[in-house]
Amino acid sequence: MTCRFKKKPATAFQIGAGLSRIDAPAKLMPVDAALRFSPTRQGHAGPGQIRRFSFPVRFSIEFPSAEIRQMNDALIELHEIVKNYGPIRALDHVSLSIRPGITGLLGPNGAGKSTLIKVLLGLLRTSSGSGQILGYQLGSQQRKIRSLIGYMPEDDCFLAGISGVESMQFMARLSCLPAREGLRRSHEILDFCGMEQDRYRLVETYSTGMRQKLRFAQALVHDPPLLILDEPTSGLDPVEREATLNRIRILATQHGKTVILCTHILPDVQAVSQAVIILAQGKVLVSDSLENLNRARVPSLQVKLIGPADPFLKGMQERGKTVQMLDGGVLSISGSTEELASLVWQVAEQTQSTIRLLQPSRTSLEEIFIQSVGGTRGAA
Amino acid sequence: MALHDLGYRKWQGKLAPGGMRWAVISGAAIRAAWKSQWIRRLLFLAFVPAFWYGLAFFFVEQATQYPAWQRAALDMLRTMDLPGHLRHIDLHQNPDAARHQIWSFLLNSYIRNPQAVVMVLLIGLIAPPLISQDLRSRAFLLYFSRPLTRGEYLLGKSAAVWAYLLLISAVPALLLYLMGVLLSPRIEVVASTWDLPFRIVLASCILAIPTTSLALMFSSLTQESRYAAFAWFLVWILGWLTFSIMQSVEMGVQQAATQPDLHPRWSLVSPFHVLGRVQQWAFGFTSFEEILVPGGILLTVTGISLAILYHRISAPMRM
Repeated sequence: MTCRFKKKPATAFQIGAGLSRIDAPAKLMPVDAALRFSPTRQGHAGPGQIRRFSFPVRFSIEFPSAEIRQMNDALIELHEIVKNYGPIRALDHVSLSIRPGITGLLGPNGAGKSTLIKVLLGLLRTSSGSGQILGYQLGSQQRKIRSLIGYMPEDDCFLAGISGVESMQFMARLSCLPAREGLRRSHEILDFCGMEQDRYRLVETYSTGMRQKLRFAQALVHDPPLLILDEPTSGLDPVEREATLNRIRILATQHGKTVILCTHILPDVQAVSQAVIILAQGKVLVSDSLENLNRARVPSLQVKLIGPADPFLKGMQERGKTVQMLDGGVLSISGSTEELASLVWQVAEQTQSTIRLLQPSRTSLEEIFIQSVGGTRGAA
Repeated sequence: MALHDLGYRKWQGKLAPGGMRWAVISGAAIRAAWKSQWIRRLLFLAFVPAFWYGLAFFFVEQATQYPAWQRAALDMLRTMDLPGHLRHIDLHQNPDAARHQIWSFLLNSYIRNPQAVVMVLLIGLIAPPLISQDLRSRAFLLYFSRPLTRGEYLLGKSAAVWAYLLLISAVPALLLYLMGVLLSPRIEVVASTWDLPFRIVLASCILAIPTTSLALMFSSLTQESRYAAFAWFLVWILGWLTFSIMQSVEMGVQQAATQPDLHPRWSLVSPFHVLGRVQQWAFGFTSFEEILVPGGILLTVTGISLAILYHRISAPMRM
């Protein structure tokens, strides 16, 4: 007999290093054995591994491991967070929820990004508001939260007087990895981050890029489910930048890590993120998936002509189309791209214009960012 | 291109207990200090006075068994500023009572005189970079993004200094005590001197805790460890000079030189003498009432230092 039922959300419990809730549909399947529990090595389920509980009633419940069950949940929920530095309000009633995957945290200087990160890490107490991170209460369970977060600071910070690998081992041990395991894991992560023999040199002798890599590596050493990366690609050459973005992608897609990517480099966010949060003046201006943000924008075509554009422009306007002149002589025509394309060709033929470029307008994150932040600046 | 690349792998091992995170910090600080050749040399030198005091223990134990050694033993003890009431003690007639008093004096003298001076030098080398280096390299964000409290951080840094201080005070003093027991004619000596190991530990704590707090406080006030070291040595030198000058002015140079501890009022301005007076209480040479003021000074210095320390290491988080 095989039956299926949906299990209701139950109380939170801890499996391995992460916290999970039983809220994904559980799958029931028949088995012969009586009550059976088959955990993986040392009682922890790995990524994608199945935990199986069997009961005497000849069926068992299979449900995925912690990370997979979290996929549909918001891992971070903040409600009306306010943080004041004396008379200055750094966070102004911030409410947001962050789902698994990569989320870009954007904002101009002084927007409150660093304050928000410090609040998430429990380094700063909030003036008011509440929140949950990975199922733990913000403010009261900070040590547990910090043990599940890998944080890469933006500042050029390092542990002086020791080598790269010693620094990694030290951070691993602060996260309670046993000494020998910490060293093994440090080497493993340094390999992953492409740091070769330099790991044996004193950290003070490292270049900016190498210190950046080391900070990225130390955030991973304890295998946290949540990564907060503050400017992970600043100061890196193009090759290293691409490699770092690739590592972030791998961590999120293949290893189920949730990543908060805090950066000023918008193409980085556009390249890897699924969602974006834009902060300005301590307020959340935008918090949505990139897909939704792109969908919300009016479709348009970009046209570049060889020769004078006036006849073509006039022809399009006669047909009731709104045409905007952009930089570099590019025309932006709003409307559904499929029917617009044939109209463009018709008008070009009639006005004897030669089309050099015809492409759908790409809505860039930069545009969204400038529009959002520009609005608050205007209001200010 | 790599033929085989493990890439990122999940870690599924068992975590160590979290209560010892401070030990990770102190272990790293101890190893970092051990790399300094000056500190290793100083530690070696710190054990030299123990040989002289070991010799004194040998003479005292000989005197308790053979009357002929009595004069030589007392002559040797007088070179260590033996207090007046012990100058004519008969080691042979009543060895148990004499042994406790003389051993207490020797151990107190050992911790107070040579080891307190070595302590000033040792802390001056170890403590200044401990926090100032973290301030300079902005390592606080790395520390406190881990499940580590500020208290554990402070305990870890302090424990590194304590470890070295115990190595130069409690460890050799306990070895001297053990040597005394082994040199004595009977093992029952332990019964009459059982309190001395505890007194050694107490005196070592009096030596270590306030001084470490003060030195770490100086370290937390600057990013340049040399300024912290300068401030540390300045406190001791100025304190000593002020005490010596004021005592000489009040008592006259000659009397002040022969009876340095006679006028306790000015000893309160010298950290060295304040520590010494409280340590004398630990070995039973002064009453509790007599150390209320110096003890209060030590407690106040420790409290203020810890408060400033806590404030300073919290400061980078508030920005």
